Amino acid sequence: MQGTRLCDLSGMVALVTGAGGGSKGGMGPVIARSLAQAGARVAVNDRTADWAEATVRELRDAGLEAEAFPADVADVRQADQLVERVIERFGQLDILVNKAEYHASGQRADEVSDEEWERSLAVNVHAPFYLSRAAVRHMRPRKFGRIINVSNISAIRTSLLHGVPYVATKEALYGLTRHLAIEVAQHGITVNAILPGFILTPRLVEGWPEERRNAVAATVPALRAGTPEEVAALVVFLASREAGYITGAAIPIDGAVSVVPGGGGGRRENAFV
Amino acid sequence: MGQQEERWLEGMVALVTGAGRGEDGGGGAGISRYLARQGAKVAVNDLTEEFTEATVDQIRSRGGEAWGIVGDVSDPADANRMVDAVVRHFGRIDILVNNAAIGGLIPAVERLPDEVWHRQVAVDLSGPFYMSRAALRYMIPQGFGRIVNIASLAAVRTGFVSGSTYTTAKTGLLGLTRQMAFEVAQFGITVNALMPTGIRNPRILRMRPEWLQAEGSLGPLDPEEEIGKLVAFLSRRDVTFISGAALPLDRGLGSALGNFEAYKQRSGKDAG
Repeated sequence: MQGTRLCDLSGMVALVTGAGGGSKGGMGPVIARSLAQAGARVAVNDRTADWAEATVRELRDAGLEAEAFPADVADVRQADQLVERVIERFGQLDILVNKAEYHASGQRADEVSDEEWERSLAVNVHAPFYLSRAAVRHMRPRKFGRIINVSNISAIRTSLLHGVPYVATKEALYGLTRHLAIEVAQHGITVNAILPGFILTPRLVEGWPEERRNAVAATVPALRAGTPEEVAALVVFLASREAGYITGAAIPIDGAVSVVPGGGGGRRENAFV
Repeated sequence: MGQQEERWLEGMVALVTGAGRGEDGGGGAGISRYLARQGAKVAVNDLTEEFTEATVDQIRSRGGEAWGIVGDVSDPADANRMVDAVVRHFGRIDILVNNAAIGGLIPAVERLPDEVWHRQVAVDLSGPFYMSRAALRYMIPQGFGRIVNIASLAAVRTGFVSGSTYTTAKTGLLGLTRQMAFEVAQFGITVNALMPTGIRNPRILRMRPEWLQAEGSLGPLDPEEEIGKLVAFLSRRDVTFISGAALPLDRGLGSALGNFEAYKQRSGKDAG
């Protein structure tokens, strides 16, 4: 019966930030869905109640257990309260997925504004810190935890669309991942970063003409974009009990685009990260 | 009689952050001294005039040219003001060395206060961004520049004494370096990061003498003869081919398999 299949998350509670929008959203709602399908109860966070509820409605329609927890995780008080409320509602927290992110608009380094820099830091670095701190305080006495930080392939390469604030903060998130990992590994808590490359989300399908999507896919050795479900599957695996010895890692999920040499001028109109 | 070798950085203007305290200083002061020896005019930045003047006096007493500029790199207005002032004083800016950083014994994430986190990320990561942005505004139109970011081996591992804030910021500094290098390569500007392990710092060694585990070829890095020399080399006009790089300065030891036990013992860290 239960417990014999790989990656069974029954009995676990997950919090996924930036998971709103349901089938109109990005990777976040798909991650929430996959965690729920694997058996976890899922706390769905996004900045507004409407956006978070959109995902929760779809999950409940599918018979899955989920609840909305709107909050701006870049605000330390809201981040602390978010974790508190999730634990209050569900009695525990096992899995934290830091998915919420801010994409700076891609100005050249000398033209990036203070606000773009600070907002990128606040959402991509400070928020995961606040949430991880709160989560670890709860997880440590229980001797179990899974923290998955959604970074990006530009953390180890470059970004044609989002510039210096994105690359610096996404790589900084990997630094936090490594350091927190060594602090809590002995307590059964793993902390990992995943680095998605070109992933076709519903938002992208709507926003990008087919020629652009095809042009980008051609830059990837796999000759295709990845799907949000593939990214979610990696999250489910890392969240599972079986993945207890993987920690402090940065795992690209990118069809090998990060191992192909770069250069060749890169064209912004064909960029994806 | 041998030929007089041309100094590497003759006529160039450098700004080094966190470079104060002169003889009692650390990496920044050492780097400043070496750049001056190679012919650069060096603007020495630190948080107080007492600090900057110590290094400025030291350089001048050895026949070099230096000038102090006080400011906080983590404040974007200060960063802009400082770079503008250096250009006004020396006529241009060629080299920026983002060295200013704060480390220190930092508690585990679980016990880490907000203010400590924010302050360290601001100085160690935002500082280099704000300073580089300000310098690029001169380097791009002039079609030449050298930015050297002093990161740490923590950028690809974990901080030794310093905690998660340091590891986070120094790792982010590599991303800043790489993306910036990519964006400004076309303008004759290189951007590189150095990842030193322990740097000889007299003041810190007085506080924690037990950290000095060895001398000589296994000892801490010499800020002037070792780190300074590499910064000066990367800043040469003819060294255009290294950019976006992250260079470990660890005497070949940093990539050895980790030892958590030794790490905790030696660093005295609150690591769990």
